Amino acid sequence: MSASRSSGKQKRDGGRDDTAMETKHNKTRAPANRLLVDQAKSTNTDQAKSTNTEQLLISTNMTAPNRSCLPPDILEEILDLLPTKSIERFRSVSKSFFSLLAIKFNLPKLQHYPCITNSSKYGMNSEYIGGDVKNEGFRAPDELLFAAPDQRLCLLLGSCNRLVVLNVSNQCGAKWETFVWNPFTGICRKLPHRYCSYAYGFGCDSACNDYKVFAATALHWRPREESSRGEKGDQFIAAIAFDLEKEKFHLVHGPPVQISPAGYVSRLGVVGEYLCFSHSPGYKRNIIWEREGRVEYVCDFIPQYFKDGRCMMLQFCCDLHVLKWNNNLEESDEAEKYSKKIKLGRALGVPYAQTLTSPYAS
Amino acid sequence: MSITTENNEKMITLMSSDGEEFVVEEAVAAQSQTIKHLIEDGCSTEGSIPLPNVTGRVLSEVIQYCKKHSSSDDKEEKELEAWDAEFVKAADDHVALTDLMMAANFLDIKGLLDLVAQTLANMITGKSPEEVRRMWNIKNDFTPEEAEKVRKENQWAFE
Repeated sequence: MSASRSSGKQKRDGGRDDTAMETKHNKTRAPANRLLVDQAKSTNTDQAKSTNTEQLLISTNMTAPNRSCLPPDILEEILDLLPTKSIERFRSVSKSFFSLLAIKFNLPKLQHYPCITNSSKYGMNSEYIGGDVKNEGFRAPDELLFAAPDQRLCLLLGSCNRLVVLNVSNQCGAKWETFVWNPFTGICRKLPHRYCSYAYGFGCDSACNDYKVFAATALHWRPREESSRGEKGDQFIAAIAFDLEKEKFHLVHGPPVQISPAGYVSRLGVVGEYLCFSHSPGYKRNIIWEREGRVEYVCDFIPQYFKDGRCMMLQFCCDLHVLKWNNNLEESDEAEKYSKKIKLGRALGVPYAQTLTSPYAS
Repeated sequence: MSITTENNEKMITLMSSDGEEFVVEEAVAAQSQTIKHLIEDGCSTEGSIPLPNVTGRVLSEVIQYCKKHSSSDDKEEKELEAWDAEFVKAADDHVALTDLMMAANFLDIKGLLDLVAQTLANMITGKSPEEVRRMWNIKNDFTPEEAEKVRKENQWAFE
């Protein structure tokens, strides 16, 4: 076997690998962002391939029982097959594990998270929550099912960093309970019910240095009589933050927004790094926030109640998602119409934004 | 060097990194996309196909798998599954499996790659990060601060 032939073989081999990779992409129907990541990776593969091959050579020639290198593509194949609980755990193995898992499992899901809604496929009272049309959703935690076995009404208040906050009621509007839930691990915790909340939100506290600690802070806002400050009967907003790490409630300064007590709907959401409060009348409950000339949407859910207690949810995020109602109602023209109306509407509410200050940030 | 058997089956020779030669039917070797392409490109017409990344020990296992899977098109799936299960069981430990997986990756044998990946995934599913590090000699390169951060991030996932 001559040397020239051997090098020719390697060339062909390289070309073959590229085509194989391409067909793999086509097959997996990867989401666009994922594809980008992979393509970016595959542009480096030519170089990576040769080093990998060298590594392979070294490692297979070794007689020692322990391998010092596990090629990333091999590792990826294995990690792909792991259950989410293991994935979460293995983030702490090493930096390469962490970044691999971050690319593969975190980013798409983080982006996906605001889209978590009551599954259109299974309806409000189902045991499944979340997902879009392609995703069948996550099985609802047992705690949640036990909390309200009959006529569950479940509102998704928000999501952040793989955590979701849900409000569950056994009957329409009566006895609400708030849960924090990690759908990927199935772990669910009920928050102590201490405040009667007016609006809910859930987001990161980026004002804090170690914002991850406060990443999961549930914020409960409620109207509070402030007779000393406002006119008689005026209501102001007070925020109650629930710190997930310390599991304690704290009062956060309320924004000086005057709210009308009746007929208005308040929502809390996060826009950019701001906690945003929206207060708007009647059915036009847009949560559209205009900042520096740019229109941004609060990633939040807009519940729409109907007489029989059913609830339709609309949501803004990168894309507008319209959901079906109960099992018996398909994606109807009406829903379509409604979504368009929402989409085209403009900020009618009173958005409030301030950099959120955690009680612990000194 | 191509030998033809009485069944008119073309034979080819594969040579492992440690110089061991394996004569197999072309249909068996072609289970590997890598080898298949090499054959198509005419690399096997003279002499054997060198596989510098695969040792003889691993290659014999791979060939065993390919033989079974090329001859069992019309066999029952269940039987094949049982055979697969036995096959990975025989590979015994994660080191052998990792070698096998690297070979399957290099030779591009999808069925084998999936089979071994699943076996390894099952193996590590319940393990702790420390155990996984030990399995593959992975260095924990987090600083204590970083490790703490990751831990905090995961706190709600593992309490």
